[in-house]
Amino acid sequence: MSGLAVGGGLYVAAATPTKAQAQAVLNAFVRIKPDGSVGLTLARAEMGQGVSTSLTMILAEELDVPLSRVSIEQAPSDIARYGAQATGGSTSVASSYEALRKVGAAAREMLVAEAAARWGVAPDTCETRDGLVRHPASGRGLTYGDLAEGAAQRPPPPSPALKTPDQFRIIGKPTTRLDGRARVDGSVRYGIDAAPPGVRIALAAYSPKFGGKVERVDEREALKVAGVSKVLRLDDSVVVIARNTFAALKGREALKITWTEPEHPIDTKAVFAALEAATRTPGATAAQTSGVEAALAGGGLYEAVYHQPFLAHAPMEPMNCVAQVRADLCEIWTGTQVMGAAQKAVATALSLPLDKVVIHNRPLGGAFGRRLEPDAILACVEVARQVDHPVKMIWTREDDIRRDRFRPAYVDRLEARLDADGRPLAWRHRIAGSSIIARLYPQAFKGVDADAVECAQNPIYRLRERQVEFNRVETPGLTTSWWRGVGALRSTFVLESFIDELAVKAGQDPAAFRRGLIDDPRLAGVLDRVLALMNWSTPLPAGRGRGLAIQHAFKSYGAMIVEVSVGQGRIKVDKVGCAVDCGLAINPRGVEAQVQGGALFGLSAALTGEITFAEGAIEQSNFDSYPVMRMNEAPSIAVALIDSQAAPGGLGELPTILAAPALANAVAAATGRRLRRLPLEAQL
Amino acid sequence: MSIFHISINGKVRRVDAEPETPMLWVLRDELDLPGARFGCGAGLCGACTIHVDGAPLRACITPLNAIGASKVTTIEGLGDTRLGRILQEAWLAEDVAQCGYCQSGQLMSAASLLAATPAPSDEDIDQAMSGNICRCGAYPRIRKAIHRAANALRGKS
Repeated sequence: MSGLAVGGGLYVAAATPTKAQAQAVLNAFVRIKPDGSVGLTLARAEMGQGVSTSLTMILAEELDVPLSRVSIEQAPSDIARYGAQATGGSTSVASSYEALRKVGAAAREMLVAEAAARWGVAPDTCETRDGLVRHPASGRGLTYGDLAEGAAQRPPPPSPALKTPDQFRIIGKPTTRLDGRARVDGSVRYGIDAAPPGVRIALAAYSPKFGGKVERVDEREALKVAGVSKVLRLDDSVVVIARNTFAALKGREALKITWTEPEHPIDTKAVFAALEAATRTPGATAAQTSGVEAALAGGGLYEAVYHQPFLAHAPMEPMNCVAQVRADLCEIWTGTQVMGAAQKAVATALSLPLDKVVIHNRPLGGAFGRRLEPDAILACVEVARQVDHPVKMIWTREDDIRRDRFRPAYVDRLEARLDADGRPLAWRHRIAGSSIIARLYPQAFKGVDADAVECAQNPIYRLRERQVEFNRVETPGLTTSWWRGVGALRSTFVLESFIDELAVKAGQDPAAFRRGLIDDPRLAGVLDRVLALMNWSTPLPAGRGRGLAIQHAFKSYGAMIVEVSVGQGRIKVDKVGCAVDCGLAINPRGVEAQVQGGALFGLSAALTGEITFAEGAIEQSNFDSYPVMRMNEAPSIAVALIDSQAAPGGLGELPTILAAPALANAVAAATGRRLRRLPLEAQL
Repeated sequence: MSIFHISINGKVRRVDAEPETPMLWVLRDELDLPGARFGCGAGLCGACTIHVDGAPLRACITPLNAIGASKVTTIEGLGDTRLGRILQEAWLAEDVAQCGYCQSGQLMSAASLLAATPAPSDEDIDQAMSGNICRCGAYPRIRKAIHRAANALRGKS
């Protein structure tokens, strides 16, 4: 904890900027200004998850200020002070909760100490509320603004007293988003809206076949287009720079490019054949109990193989970046989930010191993991370094989908034997797919991708003997990456589908079957709650069905029931219920939004989401060929939030991981057909 | 390049651009009105929805030379009408926006719906709003906000 008097205000940082603490995700930096308003520096990206609201609530609670007095300031890129500044994995609230409370409490204690000293009274005879320190015995009061400068001279308390939950006035109260208005009047400015003086628009043309490179380019017609100022030939693309977007689009169309054939033309059928083959051979061991070989040896195993496709992210704001590169400074305007990593990558690319790369991070028009990759930023910088003006590089929707770093395709093979009562005696789970971890952290990769085996390594169910293996299979030329739900998403689809199949095989109700195999009371809590919420035991007419999925992930617990009607080759999702226990819910309104949105995101992908390759070409390009859920397809979603005082868990991804298995299980219940390949509508 | 004079949000604006330039890029690149968002460029997602004489059109496929004397309204002008203000307040009350990127278009489509159908059914909402994609999945709250705004328009709260 450190205090600092700068510019007439009280600053409190959660950590002194040592390297160790910067890595401890203590990203808070709070300033109380002389007018009593509070600035909270946010080192997390706002991408629709409402993090600026929930973090403000946490700070305001301990500081005893009204929410309206706190304003969010986006942190500048500064690894030393704010750490990696990464936003992902549903970690923002869980990892900031304690730190931010301590910052608020420390600042409050310093303000109280200053007031008490001025009045000559004991600090414990003072109270705080709504940005005021009061001394009830004498009726005196001072605003935080009055006290800020004096308080800044005081040493920060090493371990400030935190409120107990019964004292909370803000945390846990349903609260409206604090940054909502700019999103209803058009005034919010995303990365794509940045327009520094002199900016020109850049569009890149890429090979229609993935991995093709530029062989020849004839740019004469493109340069004739009014407004086109330059054509740059890069290794894998040709970039048109123009005064405005329309000229850049027309210039790009006018390019005549000959592309090389890709070295490894990707074909979806071949990808899945390789993955499936890999599930027939042993992989690296992620988990193994001592008696599993013997338990599996006896034969009579029930086996199922599941396929999951490549997925694009398709955030509504296509990838884009604005950059200006000068000899001694690179300035970037964009929306990224990885400000720290992007700053480093740009500094390396340009051979600039870290502090000569300045990133202005804007609100993100959706991310879902896509903006954890700095590729669009680096592509823009590569262009901007070759011109003497700022460049805005826009990816059209077609570029955004085709140049995405896809969620990997996976094949999982599960085998199990049940005892006479339907309990799993032996369990083997082989996962085959790309390893994102091995690409990003090669030092840490020892054969098992810790992300891909998430939830599968230690399933929530009591399994007497088990073996879990991972087989890394890369598709040459393809870079895969994070997608909302990450490893828990892929694992939960297969685990919750397979357990449902085992329940059918055991002749048991899928809910009762699960209930008999779990020990964690919080998991049982969400299961029981969702069964009641969706009237699980009442029968449905023919052609309709309910499916269940449960999971413990991101330090939270969730259970979902999806109700469907199936007919004429379509799956109609009638309604969804979801119970979540995410520990203490900072903002229950935000929780509900995340559960509804996260569930729809998962359902959308499970119904129709799929990227496919034929002879090296990606077969999808825009929302016609890569359909996503629309209003007329969106079910109502009932949300039940378990009241809990446990430490806050993550929530932005939990509902997403439950959607596909609950949907597949519902389709099986409605039709008697088990679909083991996503997306489901393609399998009907 | 050609000179056009077009009415946008109650003001006549001078634009010097290629006649076939889509209105989306006229607004964003030439007129500093970036509230209409680029999402697909093909009339598939609705993020760029504007009103042309009250009708919801996709600005990404509506050329500048098709506007003529029509009156254009963008999200920046939505709050100039009672209906627009009521919708914006309903959106805030229901906490509709997550990332918010599609919400300009959602609001413009909703405004056209309520102007024509002051008390829409869920089916009316499906019909009018299914051209507007929201990847954050705010659909349940968009639906609630439209009903709330419809009630407010009729003087119920």
